[in-house]
Amino acid sequence: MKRFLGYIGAALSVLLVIVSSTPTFAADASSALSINPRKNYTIKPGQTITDKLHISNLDHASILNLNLRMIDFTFMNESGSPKFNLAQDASPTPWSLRSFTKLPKTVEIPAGGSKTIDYSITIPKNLGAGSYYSAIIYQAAGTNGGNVALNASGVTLVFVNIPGKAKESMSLQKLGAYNSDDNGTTGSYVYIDTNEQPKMIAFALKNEGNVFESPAGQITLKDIFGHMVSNITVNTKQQLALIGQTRLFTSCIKTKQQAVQALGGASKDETCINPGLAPGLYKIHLDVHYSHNELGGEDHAISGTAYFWYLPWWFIAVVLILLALIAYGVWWLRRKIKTAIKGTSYKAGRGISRRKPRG
Amino acid sequence: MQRVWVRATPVKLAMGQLALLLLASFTIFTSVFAADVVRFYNRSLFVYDPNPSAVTKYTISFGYHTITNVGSLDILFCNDPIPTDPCDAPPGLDVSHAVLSDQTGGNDYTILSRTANHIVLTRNPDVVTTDPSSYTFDNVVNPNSTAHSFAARLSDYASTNAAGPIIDLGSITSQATAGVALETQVPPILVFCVAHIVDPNCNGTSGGNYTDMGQLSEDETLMATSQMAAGTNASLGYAITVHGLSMTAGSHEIDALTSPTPSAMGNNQFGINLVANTEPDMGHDKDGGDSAITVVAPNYDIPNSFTYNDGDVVAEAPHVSLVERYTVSYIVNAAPSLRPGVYTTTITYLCTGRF
Repeated sequence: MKRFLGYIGAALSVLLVIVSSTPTFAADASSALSINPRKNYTIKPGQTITDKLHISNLDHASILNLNLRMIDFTFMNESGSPKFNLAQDASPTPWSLRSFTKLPKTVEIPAGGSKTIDYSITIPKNLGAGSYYSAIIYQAAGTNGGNVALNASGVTLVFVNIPGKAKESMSLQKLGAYNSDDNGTTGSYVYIDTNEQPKMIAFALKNEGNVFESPAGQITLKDIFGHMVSNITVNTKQQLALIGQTRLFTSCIKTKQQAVQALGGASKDETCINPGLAPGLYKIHLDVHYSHNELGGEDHAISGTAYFWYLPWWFIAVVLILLALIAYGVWWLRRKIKTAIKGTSYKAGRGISRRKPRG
Repeated sequence: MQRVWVRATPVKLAMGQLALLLLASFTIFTSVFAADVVRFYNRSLFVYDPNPSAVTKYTISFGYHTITNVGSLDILFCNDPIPTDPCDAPPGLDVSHAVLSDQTGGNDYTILSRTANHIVLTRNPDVVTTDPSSYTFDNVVNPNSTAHSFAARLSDYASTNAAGPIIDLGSITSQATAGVALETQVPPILVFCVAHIVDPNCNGTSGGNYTDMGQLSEDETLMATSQMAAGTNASLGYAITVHGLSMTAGSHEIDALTSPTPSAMGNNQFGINLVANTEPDMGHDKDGGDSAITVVAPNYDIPNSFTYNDGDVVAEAPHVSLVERYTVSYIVNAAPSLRPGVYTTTITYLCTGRF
């Protein structure tokens, strides 16, 4: 009997090993959430604000377990995408809100449910004027196992301005026509465009102050004769240049919305379209200003001028053909003149005279 | 019967071709814009008596963005304002006896159908104007709870029965409350989900959050896929970044491909991309939402080339975007000299609003 039980035990052990080593998927835990993407505050030194974060579990079948914490971020190149430092022991940035913020560490949300949680930011009394920002990361509790484990995290960007005399300083780094296949997400400046008309104007501003800035203003585009081609309002979405960032701002020369409006309709589609430029030289003039009036700042202005050529290949070909025709015409004319004066002689100072016949 | 052949002059031919060209352009133009869904502007819901379960009047106001023929207006009351989410009717709300007592702006509507939380207005299709429009309904019963907000999801259609493509859409949230009427537009929301397989609208996921890729071998490329979806109504859009180390076993690591590189068996390689591949045959192009708006990062958008850099942006939307689904393909190759071990990694996808 003992031997039999021993066999059964051994068999069960083998079965257990087999089952546990079979590749398997994790029990489903929700990693589908909706959150507030951004929070903005103006908080005086010594003041505390309390606000709410609304979090939803979009998965109607599984519980969503979230770990919450503050992380710091900076900019990623010239874009509006943040670059996060996820390390638990990361040193705080000079503009960090981590030590000023209190929020729950974990949240559990039932399937298909929502929760509103409180959090607070307390600004120390001795903190100077300027901008401070960090992010709240909501990390769906991940699973361990397999070769590749996935985690989903959402992030709320938190921006705080502290009133007072802050340092505001921006400088123009670049201005010009811009080519982009994805409405400005990626692209490059262009000075002589031979393939297609540039659809965008871009400029880059470097923020050398201690507040994030959102410049506003106009770009005018004029042709070689000084005629206005386009008058563009820049940064209509109030994009930010973070502290230390050189930020690229792109604007369409003409949008689909404008084209539809010109036809008497209405549209919110802001996709850049072909602006209908004629070949030639174009002048771009930028006038922007930036200020944090709410912080007691002064208004600052930046202006700049740039040029670009639009010379499509067909235009270059036409010009070359015209030049060739002109060259041929000149050659043909000279030949005709030579033929006309054949049989005459030319002497300096005496003009053309007919030769005397021989004999 | 006599056939008469008319010889077209070059001028007539040119005119004919021009007319055809214009017709084709117009067709393309109109079809392009028919595909655009934009938001109604200046949306509001005024509740005359905000008390729970009160029988009251609702005035829904908004402006049509797309100036075109509109034949029906769909008003759906739900707990959640997100149009792609399933609709749970607000408890206690009843519009099944609502009467359309007043309308301004885009008018001439009558009620086509009513249920407890759904009204469809219909009319002979006519062009709407940009003037603000409002629709007042009598005999509406408020939700019975003050604990939850509720939303009116609006959409208009060219058809007379709220069928076919949506022209404009938008939501308004409100809340029954004792004595104070609340009205607001939907705040910015970011939607994100990750799993082996996700529904296009993030309402469901399956397949779990990890996968065993199999036995590493110099003669075989190990492959896996996962999916994620994201969308937002924030005007600056969203970005998805990828975080985590390459595959490691103790102190040994399979080198990540730091630039887009084809998969090559017999080499230590770990990489991902977000596009359909043929060599190896895996992956899928993004789908489901605003494909014209969303962008897969250039390095991760090359078929049959894989890369991986901790912290990279892999996809983004620079504007408001409906929920878009991305399929991530993973490849792992091993060199003969790779030290034996169980190589693992945890990849964190982080979705954030842009600034």
